[in-house]
Amino acid sequence: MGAAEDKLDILELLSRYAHAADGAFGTAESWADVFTDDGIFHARAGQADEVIIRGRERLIAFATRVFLTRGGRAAPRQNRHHQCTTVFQELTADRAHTRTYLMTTNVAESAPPLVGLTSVYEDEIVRTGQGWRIQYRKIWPDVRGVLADARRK
Amino acid sequence: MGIADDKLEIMELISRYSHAFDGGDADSCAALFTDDGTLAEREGRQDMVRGRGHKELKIHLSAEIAKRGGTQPRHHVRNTIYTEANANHMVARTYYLATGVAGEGQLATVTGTGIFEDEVARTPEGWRIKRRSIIPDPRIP
Repeated sequence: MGAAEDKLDILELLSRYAHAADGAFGTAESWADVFTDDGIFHARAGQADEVIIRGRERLIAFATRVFLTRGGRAAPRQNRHHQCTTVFQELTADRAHTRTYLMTTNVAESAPPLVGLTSVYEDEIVRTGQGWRIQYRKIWPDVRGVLADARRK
Repeated sequence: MGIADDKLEIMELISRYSHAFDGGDADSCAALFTDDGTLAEREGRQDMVRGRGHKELKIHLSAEIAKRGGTQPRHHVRNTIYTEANANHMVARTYYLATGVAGEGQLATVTGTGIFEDEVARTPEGWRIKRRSIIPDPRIP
């Protein structure tokens, strides 16, 4: 398999993250499926505080909590993670390091979707028996204000 | 031709729809569908069929294009994933983010987000859309 196939598979993996994260079709399990069993989600963007979540069980528990909050009355909205503009910093036969732009949009009541946060995902991706998976994902917001917004909710 | 080539061609097919529709070219847009291709839009839980076959699709797409008046839309597509991927048939889900410029000197605004769910088929002319369901994100009351 050539580098083009690997890159295409990895781009689809990154897209699967978005589909899983956005609720309508996603589940906590499908969100965790994008990671390796010992995968790490290291985030400040969209979170009240910095979080480091490691391992499949904790990832599922974390996603369950986050998805509940989003679907609950406190912040009812359809959220979209638009990802694009991926660059490959490194690609070998079984490892990749990528940077991917993120822009979230939120649909609220009687208003067109609004752009939420923008940021860059940094991913360490490895080839597993089940295909490419994220071993480490880091996401920081572009502005500190996003953190303050998250706290108010 | 491997599956990577097919997926790249399908992503370009999905982009071609945006270019044709946003460019106001109903004929080119309809030609991206198979002869019996269907365009539907989800309302609640139901897919409402807007057109089936090239003739109906052209009528529907022309009407949609006329409706927009002076607004220039752009349907940005990204994050395509495949829920089925076979040699001659695939199902893809793609995010769209629609923007519109209402007129001279106006800034673009986001007008809608959602998912295009596309059933695509290999034809002698290349990959074509057998069924597109437009699934707009519901506004939450």
